[in-house]
Amino acid sequence: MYHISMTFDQALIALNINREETLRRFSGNMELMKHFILQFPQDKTFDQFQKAYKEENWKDVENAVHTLKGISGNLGFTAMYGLTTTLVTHIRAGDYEEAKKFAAELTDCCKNVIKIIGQIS
Amino acid sequence: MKDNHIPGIQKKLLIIDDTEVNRVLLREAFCKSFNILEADNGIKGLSLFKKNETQLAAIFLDIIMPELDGFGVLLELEKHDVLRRVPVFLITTEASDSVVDRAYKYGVVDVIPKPFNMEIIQRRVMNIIELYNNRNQLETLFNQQMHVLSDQGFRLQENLWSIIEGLSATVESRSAETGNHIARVKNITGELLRSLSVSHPEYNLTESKIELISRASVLHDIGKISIPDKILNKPASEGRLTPEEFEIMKTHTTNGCKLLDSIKGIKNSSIYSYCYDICRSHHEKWDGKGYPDGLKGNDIPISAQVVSLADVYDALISKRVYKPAFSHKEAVRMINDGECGMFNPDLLEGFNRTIDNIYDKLYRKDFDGQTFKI
Repeated sequence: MYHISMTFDQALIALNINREETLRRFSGNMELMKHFILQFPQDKTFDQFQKAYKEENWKDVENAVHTLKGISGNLGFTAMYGLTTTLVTHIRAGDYEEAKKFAAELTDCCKNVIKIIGQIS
Repeated sequence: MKDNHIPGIQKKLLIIDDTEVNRVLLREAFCKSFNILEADNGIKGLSLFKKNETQLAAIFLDIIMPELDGFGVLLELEKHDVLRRVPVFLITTEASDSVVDRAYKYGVVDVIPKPFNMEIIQRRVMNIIELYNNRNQLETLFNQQMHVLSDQGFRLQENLWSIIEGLSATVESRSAETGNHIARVKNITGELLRSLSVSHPEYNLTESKIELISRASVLHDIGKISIPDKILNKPASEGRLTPEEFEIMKTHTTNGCKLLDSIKGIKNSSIYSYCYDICRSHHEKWDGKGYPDGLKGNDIPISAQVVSLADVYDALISKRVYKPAFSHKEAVRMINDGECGMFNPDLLEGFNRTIDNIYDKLYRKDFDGQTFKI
């Protein structure tokens, strides 16, 4: 397996992050924006989500997904943002069957994001 | 309202959110204009708030936090009457109607949805901070003005009172009573009230009430202004007042009340009810045989009972157009024997205790028409 290395800007494209919009959100502070995107793999929220999902503790799942929604929104992770929004809706409606489908998709999405960020040189 | 919240110098923003990136984004947007304080849960947030309360320009508050959530924080802030002076912005991923609705009910000024649009947020927040600054400044100015006005109001009351005292002196001079009957009645009223307050605390006579009642006693005969001279000053040589004349004389009580009521603004004054009671009921008697209403016992306001006794004593001991002066001893005997109508036994008790002193103070030295200072 090739070790792919990419620049930060390439990663942004791969992650489908709107660079300008996200930079504006960081008040133009590129250092800060980089710092938080690079830091995402260390964020505990994804772990909390996985743990709660495994235990089928839907209340904790909801909270973790809600927090993920906020983070992904602010960091510009478009796909993750969409998934978390839908997932929260299903959990609150009590549609646990649908929720499980989206939870699986969200897990894949997060892992993918973490992988891409890991490839930034 | 706390006076130490000086408008215009609030230079701190408080961000309460358990997610670091949210705090950072807000910090980045506002750190050039404000000192930023951060807390990652509601409890820490409240603690920071208390330490920096008077310097806070705004608070950013997340809802979902451990320890104490956003609504919990709002409830605490409400208790300290903070939300009027410091704008609280709710930051939330959850911009659903029910949450927003609840947030407004809890007193937030605006809801900021995530993900942030920083430029819009900056403008909204700065606008609102400026509005709050203006409002706080206005409130401070208003309170300062109110202090000034209430000082002036107090002086106006004093002026009104001087006019009233002058008026009662005019009335008195018309009826040709010797010396300062009104001044003496006021003095005796005060002494009797003080004596009663000590021996019978159940009458609830505080020093300020005693002061007010003594002042009010000055107007007890103001209704005499409506009594014709020939009745008011009917000399002894013409005999006693006829029943018709007496009926007219009796109206000085109710007419006095009408006169009082005609003074604009007097009903706002704390002394009004005492003036009214005294004017109306200072000829009532303990056994109900007085006038105008035939009130009995303690149905007669205590203020009127005391003025009545003071009035009677001074009348007995002074020379009047219709009677000679009686001696102090004789006056006291007549009162106790019920020759001038029945009085409250509690009151008589106090009267008997203090009247010798009163006589010495007011009558022995300077009497025979000399003026006493009111």
